[in-house]
Amino acid sequence: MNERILIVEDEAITALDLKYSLEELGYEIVDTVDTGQDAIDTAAEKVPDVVLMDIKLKGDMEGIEAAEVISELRIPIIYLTANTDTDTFEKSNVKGSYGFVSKPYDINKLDKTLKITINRAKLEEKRINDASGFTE
Amino acid sequence: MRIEKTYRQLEGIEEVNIYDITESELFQQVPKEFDVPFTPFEKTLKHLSNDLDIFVPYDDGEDFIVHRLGLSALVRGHIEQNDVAGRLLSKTSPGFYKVLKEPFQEVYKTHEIKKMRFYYHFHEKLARFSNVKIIYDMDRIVLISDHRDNRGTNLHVSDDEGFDEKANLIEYFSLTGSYYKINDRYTWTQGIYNIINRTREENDEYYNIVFDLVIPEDKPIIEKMLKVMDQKRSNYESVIRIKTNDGTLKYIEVSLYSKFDEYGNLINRYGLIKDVSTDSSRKMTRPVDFLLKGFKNNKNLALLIEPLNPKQYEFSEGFYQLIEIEPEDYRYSREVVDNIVEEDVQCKLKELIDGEVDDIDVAFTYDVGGDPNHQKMCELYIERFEFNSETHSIGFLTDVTHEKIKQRELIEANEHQKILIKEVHHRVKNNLQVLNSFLNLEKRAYKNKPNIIIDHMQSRLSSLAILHEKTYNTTDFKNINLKEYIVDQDSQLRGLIGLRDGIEFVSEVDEDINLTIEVITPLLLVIDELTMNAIKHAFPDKSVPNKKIFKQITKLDNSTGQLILKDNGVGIDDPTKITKNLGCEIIKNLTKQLDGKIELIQHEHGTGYKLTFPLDMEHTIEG
Repeated sequence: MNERILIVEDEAITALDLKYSLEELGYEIVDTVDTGQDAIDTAAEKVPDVVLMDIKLKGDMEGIEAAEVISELRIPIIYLTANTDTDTFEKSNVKGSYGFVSKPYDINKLDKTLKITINRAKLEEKRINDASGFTE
Repeated sequence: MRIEKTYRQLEGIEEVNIYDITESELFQQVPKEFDVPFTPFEKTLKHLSNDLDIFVPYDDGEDFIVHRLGLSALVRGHIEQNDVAGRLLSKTSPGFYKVLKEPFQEVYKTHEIKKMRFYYHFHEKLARFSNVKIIYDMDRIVLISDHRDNRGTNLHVSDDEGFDEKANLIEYFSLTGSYYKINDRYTWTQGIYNIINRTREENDEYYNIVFDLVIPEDKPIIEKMLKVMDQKRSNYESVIRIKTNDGTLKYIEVSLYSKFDEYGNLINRYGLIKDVSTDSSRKMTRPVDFLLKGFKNNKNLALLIEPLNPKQYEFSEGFYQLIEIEPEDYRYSREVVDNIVEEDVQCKLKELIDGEVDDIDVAFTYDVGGDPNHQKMCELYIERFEFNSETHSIGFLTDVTHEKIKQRELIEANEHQKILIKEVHHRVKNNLQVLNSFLNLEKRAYKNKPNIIIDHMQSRLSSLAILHEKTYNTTDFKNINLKEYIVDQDSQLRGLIGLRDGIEFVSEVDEDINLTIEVITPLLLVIDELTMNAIKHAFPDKSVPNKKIFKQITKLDNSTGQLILKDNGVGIDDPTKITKNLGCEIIKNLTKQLDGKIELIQHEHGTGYKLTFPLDMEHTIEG
């Protein structure tokens, strides 16, 4: 089963390119949205393996704020952003954040980050389930 | 002998100061030249309290024959009536002739009564004075002199007799005054008001209006003086400094006299006060006066002399200007400390006042009059130190409001600049990402057609370059005029494609369309994409003349804009086909980013698109 990705990106061309590039690499794109609220709603509905999150989004809600809500669903988040200053990095380095990829992105690096993130998330999920007495 | 004359307008009296009149000027033994008639009531006149001198005009008032002199004058000159009567005044008393000739002549000619006052000075000290009236009566010049001063009263005598007389006499001095204090009520003579330079006020009888003005540094002198005087000492003299309400520093000579009853209880106190500021010996000022004067015109920096001593403090003008209280209204109190906004500074100041620390160096905000809407920013330094085994303090208060506001503005401007730089960096990186993504998309779509990719990418690159170029010199990313961009974009397209392929680009754009950078970026890219599509599909036969791509951008209402882009090409046979190519997908996605709507317009010659879009999208500066 292909890993399922939700793209949260307000730049239409970037979002379109990401969609095609990741599909070429074998990922399934569950949706492409451009606002924080749509990201939360879609993540809750479609439960992707990873959310690829831009920090600056259309509307009032920033990516970091949306990510904080999504992380409650135990969905890992990778930030994909042009904001690479220290402040933004510090702010984004919260619970649920698994990686930080800067724009313009290198698709190979993004692919590796996604894979590592998905593996780490799976291990984490297993650890939690094991601790709760569940087995996969 | 020297004579100085002054006319006191308020009193309507002429004052004559006579300095060092000599015995010979006062009286000359000369032979009797004229017979003078017997003066009626001579015996009675001797008992009058005033001296009465009588003169007979001679040579039409050029000189005056002495008819009689009053008793005091005779006693003072150690002479008898017969020594002077029947002599010309110019001969028997050249000094007085010199003084009296003119007023006598005036009265002789006008027949009007003339009031004068004579001050007699010996060795730079006032010895006595007399108030006189000159009257023309029965062809005689009559000079009536105030008897009391004719006794030659020394104004600085310390015996406690004749207080009433002294007080009344002192009234006449413009720069000397006196007061009584009986039963805790004060009575002030006019001279006092002349010295303190104000008029009488209702409450003056309840407090010492002179000592109230004594500068802090001299207050201990007064305290000591009053303390000593209460201990049965009958007189005390000193020179102290007062500051009048108009800020003038005056040196005054104070002589206090007390009367005690047989049990040693104070009955009354009497004070003589003289303004000696103009005495050359008093012109010396303290070094601190020099400093205070130097600070007088400094509005932003105040010198604080003895700020920790409630009885001796003295502040330069800047202090009162900063707290916006008139110096005369200021009372040393902790209220000023309470108007400091920062509690830690208040605590530090209180610690300093209470002696827990010896200095402070603080910056604070001050609520003028306790009003938080009227604040000033200040810096304060106060240090307590020992000098001659006494504790003193000195301080500086600086109004730094203006500087702080400037500093704050600079910091804010700097912060804003930082944010803008971050914003620009972000936009550059983002646009590089967009170009990169375009390139990726094009590579997939046109694997074997690199020229198409190059054409497209050049056009997009040009559009984004226009954006950067236009926003380079602005900090306003909210109101970017669209028309300028479209004109530039047309120019770029003409250069890249128009001349090569013979296509004319025509645009009509409303002048008043101002967009945020969030709208203008995808809009330019959409226009690019639609233009590329038109170039690619509308003119398959490159030799066809009059190829034209026309744009019209209008403001439908305050919130909606409309773009119509059409060509005069071959048109589209099957519109469903074009929705499947990359160009259309890009247009669709950019339209979505714009929150807009796009539709195909079919017309007689060529193809067109109509895009409606919101004019305003929320702009956030990246943090």
